[in-house]
Amino acid sequence: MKALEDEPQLTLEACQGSAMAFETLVVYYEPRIRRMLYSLTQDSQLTQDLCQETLLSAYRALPRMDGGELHFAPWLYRIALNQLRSEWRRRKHVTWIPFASPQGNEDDVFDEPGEEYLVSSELFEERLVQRDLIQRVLDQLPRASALCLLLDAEGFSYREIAEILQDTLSAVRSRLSRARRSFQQIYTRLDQEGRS
Amino acid sequence: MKQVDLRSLPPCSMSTDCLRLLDDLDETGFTQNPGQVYFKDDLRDERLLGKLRLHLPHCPTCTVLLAQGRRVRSQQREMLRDFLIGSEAPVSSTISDILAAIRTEQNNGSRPGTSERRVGYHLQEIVLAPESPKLNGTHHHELETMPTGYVHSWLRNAMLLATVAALILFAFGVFGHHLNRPVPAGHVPAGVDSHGWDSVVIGLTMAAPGMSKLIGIYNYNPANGRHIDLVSSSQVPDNIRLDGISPDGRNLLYQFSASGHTMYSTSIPVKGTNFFYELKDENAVNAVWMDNDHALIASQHNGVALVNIHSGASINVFPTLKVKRLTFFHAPYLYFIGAIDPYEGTLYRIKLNAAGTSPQIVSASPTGKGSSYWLSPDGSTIYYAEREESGWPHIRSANSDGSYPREMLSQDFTAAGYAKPIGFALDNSLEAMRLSSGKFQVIKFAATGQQFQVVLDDAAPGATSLCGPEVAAVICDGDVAFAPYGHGLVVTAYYMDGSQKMWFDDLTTKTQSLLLKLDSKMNVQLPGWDRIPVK
Repeated sequence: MKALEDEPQLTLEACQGSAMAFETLVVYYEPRIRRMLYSLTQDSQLTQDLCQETLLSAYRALPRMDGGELHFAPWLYRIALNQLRSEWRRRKHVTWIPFASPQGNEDDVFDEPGEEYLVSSELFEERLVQRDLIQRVLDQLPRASALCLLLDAEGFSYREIAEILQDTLSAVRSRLSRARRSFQQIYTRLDQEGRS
Repeated sequence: MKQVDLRSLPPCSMSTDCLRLLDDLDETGFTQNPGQVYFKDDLRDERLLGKLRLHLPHCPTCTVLLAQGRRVRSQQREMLRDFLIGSEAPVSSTISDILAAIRTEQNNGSRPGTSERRVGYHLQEIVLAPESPKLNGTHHHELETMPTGYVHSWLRNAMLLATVAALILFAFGVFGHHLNRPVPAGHVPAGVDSHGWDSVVIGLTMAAPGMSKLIGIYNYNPANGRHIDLVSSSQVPDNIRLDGISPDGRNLLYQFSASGHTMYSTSIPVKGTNFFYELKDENAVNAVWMDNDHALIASQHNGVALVNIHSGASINVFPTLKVKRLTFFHAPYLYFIGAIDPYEGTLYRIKLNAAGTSPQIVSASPTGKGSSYWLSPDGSTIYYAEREESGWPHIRSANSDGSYPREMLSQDFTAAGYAKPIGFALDNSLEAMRLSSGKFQVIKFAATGQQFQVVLDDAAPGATSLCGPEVAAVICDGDVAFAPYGHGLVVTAYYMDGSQKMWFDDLTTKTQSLLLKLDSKMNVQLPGWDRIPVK
C-alpha cells in the first residue's frame, strides 16, 4: 500500500507519545479505514463506530509497540478487521433491529432527495448500477475472499495482506487467486442476469 | 469482461500455479526478505516460483493464461478501487471525533502505558482524623424515632462511627457542596434538569457453557436508533456489573472483578487507570451514587466508604455498618438493606451529615424481604412491592422515615395479578408494571394513591416474563428501565422458546418499537436512562 510520506518516522514518534504524529496518521488513514469498513458492512453507523474504535484502540496501544519495527498500515487494518470480526460475532447472538422513523417525522422531509437527484446523468446511473453489482458480487463471496480482494485493490502487497490477516503468504496467494476467479464468475453471471 | 478461450491451447499442469503466483511472477527476483521467518508452504512457493520462471518462456498456455489473468486482475482492481473510493462518501468522517477523544484522554492523562497504574493510591491519600474522645460516648447521641423494631448494638456502633465520619466529611468539605442536592433512587431527583434523558444503557454479556464474553455496554437512543459503545469490551471482563447512572445522567458507575479484586470505575475515563477504587472480591458488596463526583461503596467487613470517583480519595463513613445492599442516597440519608438476622432484608436509612444519628428502620415488614424499594423524587415516600411468592399485587408505601405505612394496591382493590413499582411520572406520581391477563401493563397511580389508570396496555407483546429464566419471578427491576419523568420505557422480555426481545415504548407518542432480538445465551443489564450523548 502506498504509505504516507515519513510514515516510519511518524509511527516512531507516535509510539513515543507524539499526539501530533498520531493525528497526521489519523488524517491519512481514517478515510481509508472508513471506506474499507463501509465496503464490508454497508452500515454507516457501524462503520463510524468501528472506525473510531479502531483508531482509538491504536492510539491506546501505540505506547506498547516497537515504533522501529511496526508496519503501521497493516497493523491498523488488522485492528479494524478484528473489530469488525468481533462485531460479526456479536451479531450472531444479538440483532439490532433497523430503526424506522415514526411516520410524519418532519426530519424525514429534509432527508428526502431533491429534484436534482432525479436528474441523474447517464454516467452517474451507470456508476450506481456498477456499484450495486459489485456489492452483490462481494456479498456472494466468502467474507475472507471479499476482504482479500478489497485489500489487494487498496494496494496492499501479498505480504501485507498476510500480515493483516495473520496468515501465511501461501494461503493469501491461494485465497486471492480463488477470489479473483469467483469474483469473475459471479460478476459475469449477475451482469448477464441484469441485462436479460 | 470477456473470457479468453483457452481450449485451442495444449493443457498445462502448471497453469493453476501460474495463476496463483501471478503477482509474484510479475515481480523481479525472489520475494523473500532476509532474516524473515517463513512457513513451510511459503518456502515451497518460493521454490515453485523459480520453476515457473523457467517454465513460462516455453509454455504458450501459461503465457496466454497469465495475460488473461493480468487483464482480469487489472479490471477487478479498478472496479474495486472505484467501489472503495465510492464507499468513503456515504459515511461522514470521524476524524474530528477521534481527535477530540484523544485530546480528552490526554487531558485526563488516561492513556494506558503513559502513566503507571495507581493500584491502592486511594489508601495513601487518605489520612483519617483520630477519633475524638468526646464522640465515643453514647450519651451524646440523639436517637431518631423508630417506628418499628429497635436499634441493635451494631447500629449503635455505626452511630458512633457515623459521628466521627461526619466530622471528617466536614473536614473534606464534601457536604459543603452537596448537602442539599438530592440523589436519585433509580430515577431523577427533584431539581435536576429534566431534559435530555433520551438514551438507555444496555449491557450485553454472552454466557454459554464453559465460556462467557462481554458483548458490549451500549448507550442506545431509542428515538433515533443510534447507539455507541459506552465501555470498551476490551477494557473490562465479562463479569462487569452496572451499578447505576449518575444523578446528572452523564456518567455510569460499574464494577468488575479481576485477579481476586473488585474494581469500581465509571464510563468517564478515570484518570491514570481504569478504576478508582478496589476491594477484595469477598469483601465487595455494591455501590451507589452519592452525587456526580462521589460514590458510596459497601463492603462486607468494612462498612461503607465514601469515594471521590475522580481522585479515588476515600473515607470510611460507617466502618461497622453491616450492609447487604446499598439502595440509594437522598441527602442527607443513605438507604440500605441490613445484613443482620433476623432483620435481614429490612430497609434502613442513616444520616451522614450529622453527629449522633443512628440507622432507622424504614420498612420492617417481613413481606418486604426481597423487595426493591423506590424513593419518591422529593424524598418523602418509600414504595415497595410485596415479595413475589405471594402472587398478588401488594404495593405498599411509607414515609421515608418509616412512619405511616400503608397499602397502595392490593387484592382487595383489583385482582390484577402481580405488580411492582417501576418509577415516577412527570408529576411525581408512582408508576408500576403489572401482569394482567397475560399482558405487562404500565399503570399510573393517582396522587392520592389506591386509584390508578393504565397508561400502556402491553409493554412486551407475547412475552412470558420480564425476568431471566434463572429468576422465579415475572417482573424484575433489572429488566425494566422506566425513563425519568415517564416519557419512555425499555424492557427485556423473555419468551417461551428461550429467546429474548428488547422493546421500547414511547409513552408520549404511544408508539412501540422492537430494539433488539437476543438469543437465550445473552444476559442483559438495564441500569437505566441517561443523558450521555449518542453521536
